Amino acid sequence: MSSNGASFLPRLESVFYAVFDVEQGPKIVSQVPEALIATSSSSGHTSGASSSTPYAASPVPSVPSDPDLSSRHPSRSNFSSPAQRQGSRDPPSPQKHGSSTTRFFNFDDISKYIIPPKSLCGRLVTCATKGHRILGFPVRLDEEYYPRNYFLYNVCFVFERTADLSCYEPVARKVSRVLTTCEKESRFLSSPRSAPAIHAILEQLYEDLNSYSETSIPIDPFNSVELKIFPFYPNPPPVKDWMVPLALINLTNRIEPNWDLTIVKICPYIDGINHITRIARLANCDLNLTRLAISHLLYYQVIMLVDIFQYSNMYTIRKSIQWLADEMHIKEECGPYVTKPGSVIPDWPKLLHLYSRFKAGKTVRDWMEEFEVHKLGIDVRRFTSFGVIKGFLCRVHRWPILLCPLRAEQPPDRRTTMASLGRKRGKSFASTVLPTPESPPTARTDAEPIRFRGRAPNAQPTIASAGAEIVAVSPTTAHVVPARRASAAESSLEMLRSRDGRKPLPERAYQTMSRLSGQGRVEAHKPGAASVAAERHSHAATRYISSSSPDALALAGSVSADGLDSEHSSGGRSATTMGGLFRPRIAREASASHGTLQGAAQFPPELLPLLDGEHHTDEICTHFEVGWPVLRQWLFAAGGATEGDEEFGQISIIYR
Amino acid sequence: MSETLLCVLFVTSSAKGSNLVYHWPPSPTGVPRLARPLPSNDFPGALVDNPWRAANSPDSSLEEPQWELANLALEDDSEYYWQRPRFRRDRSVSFTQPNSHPTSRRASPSKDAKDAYTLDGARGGSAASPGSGLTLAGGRDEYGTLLGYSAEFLAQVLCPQSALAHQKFELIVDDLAFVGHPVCADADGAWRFKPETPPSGPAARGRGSKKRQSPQDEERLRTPERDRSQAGAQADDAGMQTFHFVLVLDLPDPSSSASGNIAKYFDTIYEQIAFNVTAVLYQEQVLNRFVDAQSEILGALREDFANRGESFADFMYEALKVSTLATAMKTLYEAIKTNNIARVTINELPLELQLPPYLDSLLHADEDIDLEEEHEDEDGEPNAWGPEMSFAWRLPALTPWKALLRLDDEGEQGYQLYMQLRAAQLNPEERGLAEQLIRFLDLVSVTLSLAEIASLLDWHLESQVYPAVRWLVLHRRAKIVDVVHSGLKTVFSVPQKFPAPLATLSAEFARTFADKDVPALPKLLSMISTASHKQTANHLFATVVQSKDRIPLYSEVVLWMLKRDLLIRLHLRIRIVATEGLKRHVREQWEERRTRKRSRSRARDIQHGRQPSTDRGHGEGSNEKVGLGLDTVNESSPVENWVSMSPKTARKQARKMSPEPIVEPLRRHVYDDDKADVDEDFLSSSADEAKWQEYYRTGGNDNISTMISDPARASPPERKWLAAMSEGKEPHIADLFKRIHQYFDGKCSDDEILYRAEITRKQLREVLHHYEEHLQTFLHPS
Repeated sequence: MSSNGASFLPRLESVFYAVFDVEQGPKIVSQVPEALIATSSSSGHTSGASSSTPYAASPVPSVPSDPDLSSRHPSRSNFSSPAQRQGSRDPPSPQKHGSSTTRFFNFDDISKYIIPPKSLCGRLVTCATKGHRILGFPVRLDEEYYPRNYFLYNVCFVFERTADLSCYEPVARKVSRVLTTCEKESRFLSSPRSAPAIHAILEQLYEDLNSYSETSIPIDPFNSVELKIFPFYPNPPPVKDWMVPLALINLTNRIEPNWDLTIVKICPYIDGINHITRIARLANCDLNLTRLAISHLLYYQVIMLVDIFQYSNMYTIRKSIQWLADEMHIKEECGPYVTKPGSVIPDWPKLLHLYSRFKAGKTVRDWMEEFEVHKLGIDVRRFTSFGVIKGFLCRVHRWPILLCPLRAEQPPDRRTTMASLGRKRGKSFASTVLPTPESPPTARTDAEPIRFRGRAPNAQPTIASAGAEIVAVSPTTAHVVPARRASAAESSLEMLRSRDGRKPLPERAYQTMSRLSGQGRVEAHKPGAASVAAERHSHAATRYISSSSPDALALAGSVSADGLDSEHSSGGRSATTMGGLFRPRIAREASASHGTLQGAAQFPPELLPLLDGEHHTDEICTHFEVGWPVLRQWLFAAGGATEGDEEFGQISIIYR
Repeated sequence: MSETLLCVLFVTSSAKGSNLVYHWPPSPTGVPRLARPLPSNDFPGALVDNPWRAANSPDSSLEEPQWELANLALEDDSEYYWQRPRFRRDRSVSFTQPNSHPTSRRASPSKDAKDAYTLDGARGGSAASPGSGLTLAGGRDEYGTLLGYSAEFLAQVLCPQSALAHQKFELIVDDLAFVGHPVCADADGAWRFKPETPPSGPAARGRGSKKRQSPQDEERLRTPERDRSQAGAQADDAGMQTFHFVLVLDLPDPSSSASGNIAKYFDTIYEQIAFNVTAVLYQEQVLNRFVDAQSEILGALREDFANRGESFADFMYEALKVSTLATAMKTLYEAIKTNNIARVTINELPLELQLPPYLDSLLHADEDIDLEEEHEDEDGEPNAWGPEMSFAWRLPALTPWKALLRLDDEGEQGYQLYMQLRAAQLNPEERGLAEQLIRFLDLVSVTLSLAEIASLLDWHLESQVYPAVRWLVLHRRAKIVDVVHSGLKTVFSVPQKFPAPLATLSAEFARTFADKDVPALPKLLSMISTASHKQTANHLFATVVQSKDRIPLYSEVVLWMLKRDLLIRLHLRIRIVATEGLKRHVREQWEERRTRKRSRSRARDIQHGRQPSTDRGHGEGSNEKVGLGLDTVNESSPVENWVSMSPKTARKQARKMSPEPIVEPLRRHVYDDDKADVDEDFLSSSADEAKWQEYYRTGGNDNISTMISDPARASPPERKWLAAMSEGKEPHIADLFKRIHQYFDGKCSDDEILYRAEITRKQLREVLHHYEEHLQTFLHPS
């Protein structure tokens, strides 16, 4: 809630250094600014304590506390040291520092937390008085050398009661650590010769930390206190593979040579389009490291995470549109941001109207058609991401859930059902191919930019370029049968069959990823040992052969099967450039490539457990590296829907 | 609920020393912490703590020869886990450990000063279990230790100097936070109420009272009081000096939440629990020496059990039988942990304590902050919930057009409520009140708005209905929801987040509606969520219910889902847009009229010289200026014209609060441009004219459409546009539009408009239909 003020550093009100004095018990040796903390150095309290027990505060009960209580307000000055006497009677009177500062608190009240019993030593202790918090790290050094066989000291930092001390905790620890080292090495604190130096150290701490938030105090030739207070940021939320980072500043301009290597590598790919899995692949980085790097950037609030843009996405407006729609900065920024260069910027009411028409259940494509968005020169991806960034638009995810999860538990049956499904699938696939050509009204006007920008999960190079390469390769493949174009199922069948003749296309990895075709599911010839391997590899196959985009689907309809062949073959190769993650699977796939293809609509078995209503389609798509159109087919198949159904059979989809 | 609460404990101090009287649960354990990052398997081939290993290798620190041994011995994860220094193995981290006494820390930490009077038993057992974690199993050690400290030591540290008593206490040691409100006897050892506190009502009501917000009230807090009878003044030398009811919290990770949230979190726990419990205990101590007696009982029992060698657990459970304080602590702890209302009894004084239900979300930065962030209403309407329920409760606004959903219909709580109300009525007045309340409870339903309930019961909304609602919501017996159409023709949507995993919810749903003809929950949710975008027949009846005789069944289903926050209603907001065409049209009219008027006003100037001032609040100056010639108006300062507007605007704003009377003057004022009365025309538009001038001069663009963002305070051009929108509309529709367009600011929900303007939904729909081209609708949750 108070995240805006998160980076404010609390003001250091006072620093003091207290020790357990052999004769006087706990006492403040020096404090900066001076005399802000009331001490009663000569009071009976300490003398009583020092007489018998090593530290003063141990008996809380009656005896010592009573005089304290009675003397606290009226007669404090009687006990105060001469140096402070003139000021203590009348708190508002000007003291050495601030003109109207009163005493913060009485040291005796908290001395048992500052110079504590042994079990609190070596721990970070924060105690509080009515108006202040005191952060300290009491240190106790047990050595024969000292008069009582130990030396107990504490450097304490005093803040307002309401201050957030998170950023000072390491500071307190480090100061103690350094001083302890000094003490161990040269008796810096305990020897009367060097002990007075502590006051200067405190002064510098106080001044520097308040003024510069950092300090460097040389203590002796070997030791120095080097401190820097870092503003406190909360941890970022967990980063998921399907999230799309969007830079809030120009990251690439700021790269410095000492930056983390992964961050440097991924920065160029943070463009508000690529999701994390894809960035990892494009930058050739480990996925985990990429996730960490993104999370790191997120921590510093230089990026934000949005969702993958697809034309199949659904959005809805949020409550905040009530007041955000009236904000000048939104009104002014929106038009220029969302309009394509060279287009007339629509007025805000028009844009707002478009925003208000986003509804759960209405895909971006439907929305574009309904309101003829393409005529307005609006870049739809920027349009939606503007709303998401500003917080008045949010994505509506599809959460598929399998209603009766029985089928998932019976792998033996699956083969038969799949076979039958495979038969259906040819048609159902075709039916999804159909809508795509009609889909881009966008494609008519600006096919290229949309394809490039809007493409969500895959493909760095444009489809067109990938297609060109495919054409180049095609003459070398033997099976050119026009009929194959008829259905994606057949083409994938062909694709698998031709794998033997595949050619090495080593550099084609990313293009391959971007491609799609149908997806193949291999059935082993014989049930038995081979089927396991076949199943596994077939899953791997689906992983690579699939595509995510409606455009790509459309393309699949037009590209010849040769293209698919070569594309798939490069899919196998792609593993080599892909950085170890999938390599083992690929190898297996190659070895088990003598499958008979039953149909292209088969879904990977791992899909079913994910259909529990807790995973949305972006997550599933990213997991299997397919797009929504493909996943949709899978869901049709998994749900056992008959063709032409709007529903997914046994699978329900919740929009939320 | 407080997920960080580790235990509640009660300490006292007397002349004889400090005692840990009781604590619950018997052996609290904190969340394990890491001493350094635990390498995960996510990073193939990378040892994340290589730097650490390098920095801490035996070569670099000769003092720690055991390091490698320990490292080799602990090939599992355990070496990464941080342990309280007392149990720490890894010596390299605890630099404060004296080299000369390697094992001293593992022994009792309270060895030093208090050897004379610490429990011998504690000493004996503690050396046995270094490295065994926080829970010390075994023997008499449990009597003496808690959370890694000796009980003696804890009691001593938690009984502060009397100067720190009677105020909020906060001590944080590494990962443990101790929060409480220590109180102490007067200097003479007597327990009495503090005279300096102002008299106040019943203090120990079990909830933080309102005055507890500001720091200056802190003074008052210092002494919980009720009636300041000087009872309990009998001093007792050996008596208890201080007692302190402490909540021990596992210090939350500061980086998991935004800065300042943790302080707020502690404050809330302090205010809601620690302070209130202490207040009651203090009162009972002063009046009845209750705490004295309880700690004596518990102390004796503890000693007895320890001496007899009984297990610690036996002591803990035996204590529950003999001490009401112990029982209360147990109840409190368990209620907090289960996010319930703690109903505890302290010396036969019933006490209800609870923490705000969404308190823990303060600690989780990853949750959607928007939920928490209530956007303040511009009109500054005070939150009808009152201060204590406005924080971390996440309640929807308490407004007359919402409905109340009772949560306890079937439970025994509801029954109890009825019984309490029916039985034990002392006098007729209260009986009447109780009957009213019962009627209220019977009447409450999701199909009735609070305003309707108020009128049915003939209750005053704010002074009678709201308090009842607040009480029910505070006691978690009801919640505020949107009104549901009695025929279920309500458009529902599904929230972004479910309160529990869908599988759990589905199972529960299936159990509840097993024998009914209802689709499975996911199916239902899917049907509801996919239907909401349809233009027609998108309400629940059309999409799911489909037949009248199934309405009762589905009403139950809807209630079930509403109780679990599985349904939300989308609300309609409306904005007005002045389109280009309209604006051009208005401008044409204006220019035409201006030419007409210019000649007219010239003539009048000659006649009258100056215009008499009016009650409209138009300064004469502006009249004069306009009157003297519109040609010069360009030079006139627009600021002046604005100033001349201000009283009117202010009045209008005042009227907005009471929606009804606004219509008449506004209409007269705004829509009379074409009326015959020349003077009126002139007066009403003189300042307006200036603004027109200003508007057109400063780039008022007729070629783009404009949003009229606040129609209730429309500027003159906007008023003209609003008027022009009604041209050619049927009079009654136009009238209706004039009445309600002030609500078309994109902020009033449909329910609010219906309530405030007292129109029917049909009428609203009519307006929306007829003014379609000028209106934008927004459908989103509120």
